[in-house]
Amino acid sequence: MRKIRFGLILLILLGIINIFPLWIIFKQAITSEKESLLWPPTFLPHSVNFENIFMFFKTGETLKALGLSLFVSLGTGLISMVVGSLSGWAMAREPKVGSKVSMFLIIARMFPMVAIAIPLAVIFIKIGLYNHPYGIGLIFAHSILVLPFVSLILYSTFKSIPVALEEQAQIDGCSLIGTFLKVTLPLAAPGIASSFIIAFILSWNEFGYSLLLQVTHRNLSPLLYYYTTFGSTGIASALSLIMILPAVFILLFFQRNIASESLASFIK
Amino acid sequence: VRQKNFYRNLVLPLVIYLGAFLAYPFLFALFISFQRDGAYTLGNFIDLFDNPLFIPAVRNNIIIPLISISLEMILGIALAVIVNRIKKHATLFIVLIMLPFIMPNIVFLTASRFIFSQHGYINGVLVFLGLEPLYWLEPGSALSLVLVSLVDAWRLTPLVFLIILAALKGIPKELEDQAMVDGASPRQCFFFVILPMLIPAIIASLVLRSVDAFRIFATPLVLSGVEGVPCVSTFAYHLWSDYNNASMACAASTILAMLILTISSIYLRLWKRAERIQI
Repeated sequence: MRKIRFGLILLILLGIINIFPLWIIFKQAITSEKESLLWPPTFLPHSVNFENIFMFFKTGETLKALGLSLFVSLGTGLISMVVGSLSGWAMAREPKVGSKVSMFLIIARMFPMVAIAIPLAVIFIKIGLYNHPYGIGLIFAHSILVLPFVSLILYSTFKSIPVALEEQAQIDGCSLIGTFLKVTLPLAAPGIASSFIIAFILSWNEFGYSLLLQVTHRNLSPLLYYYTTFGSTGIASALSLIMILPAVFILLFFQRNIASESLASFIK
Repeated sequence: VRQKNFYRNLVLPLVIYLGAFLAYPFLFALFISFQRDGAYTLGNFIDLFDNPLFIPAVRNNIIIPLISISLEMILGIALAVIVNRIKKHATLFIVLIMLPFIMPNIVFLTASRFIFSQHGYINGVLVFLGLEPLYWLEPGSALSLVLVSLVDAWRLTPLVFLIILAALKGIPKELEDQAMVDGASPRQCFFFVILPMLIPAIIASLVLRSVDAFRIFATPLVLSGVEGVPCVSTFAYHLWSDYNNASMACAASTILAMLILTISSIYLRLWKRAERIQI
């Protein structure tokens, strides 16, 4: 009994430590920059002031970054969802393909970001996708990161759908593609939707490729890095708050579904 | 046979995509790292040693993973065991533990920078307690090296925790009860019954974490800049973005990639052996 109580105290302490960064971001975003720079620092807001958040929505650079981040994340989500579900289905239905490709995907996830991003930047400079104003090059780069992840998730999703249903449809005269569209896809829809959300979040949070590929047309994460290193505390806090929002939204609405899906993929 | 080919074709978009955007750039990097002024040379690799940041970068790239992975494994296993025993509010605690991992990486690092900077919150607490404030992120100091490892461990312990917790949930409760009935103390029960059953999960999390820890990039970059706590990844980024030297940057990053692939292939062999023993 005493042991459990000790563990509980440890957990509560850790919980407080883990909430602290979130609280700091929130506090600095809703107070003036002047207050954030006070010495000694304050842990509770003295006066609430939305100047940082107004600044975020008044500055062209931040708004453009928000739009770019949204566009890139949606694009990455779409590419990974389509390519990932095709390959996930094939992997689940043909065990030989499945084991070979999943090994290939695990190796693909091991490459360090710089070893791909730097040559990719050199190649993109040649073909005009480097620092692209709509982030087309970045969508391709993010998909490298997200596709192995999403394909493995969808592999397990399609594996959980009984083959017997598809065979039945084929006996009844449905073609392979027809079976996929009319039988498998509707059954896999929740899994595919959550893989889209995971792809969106992974792309939204990604930092390294964005930093290397979007040098002046920055999306949110390199812009935040830029503001942080140049010491614009106020707008950096507001930007951080905006960047947290999708994760919070998804945690609240899709908690159970996502947790189990991503858990399965981590264990792979 | 027709069906088999059909499924194989469905995987093609994925394979072609990764071939074009992953394998091709990697081989291209290998190609340009051996090239200078149109001639083939080892010069890019040799010149790396002339840069004063390279040796510290390699050194840090070994020290940081060692510190952060050992912390993560111990903390992750301990937290998973504790949470697995708790009956009330387990979900709440899981979310609390996962918070640093769920936050966008760059936001978490920005917050840590606010916390550990010279006029940051930790120093505020130290002054409040009547202590001297510390220069946590002093470039090149041992303290900043340890701090970068600590922040990395803080952010990624949840991942280890999640994997171990899932494995713990799969261990039948009867096993532990039986050991208790046979007279094992709780400690013996953990070390001789539970821990051996966790070995595949521990190796899995070790693989995941080692791969990530050796390519650590954002944490040292955001906390201390390129020159504060250099790592191989940030060093390659520095060569590319500040000197515009693609060949040397590719040489450095290729070395890192080779190192990671070697380490992970050793781990994968271990993993397979562990799984065989389990069966």
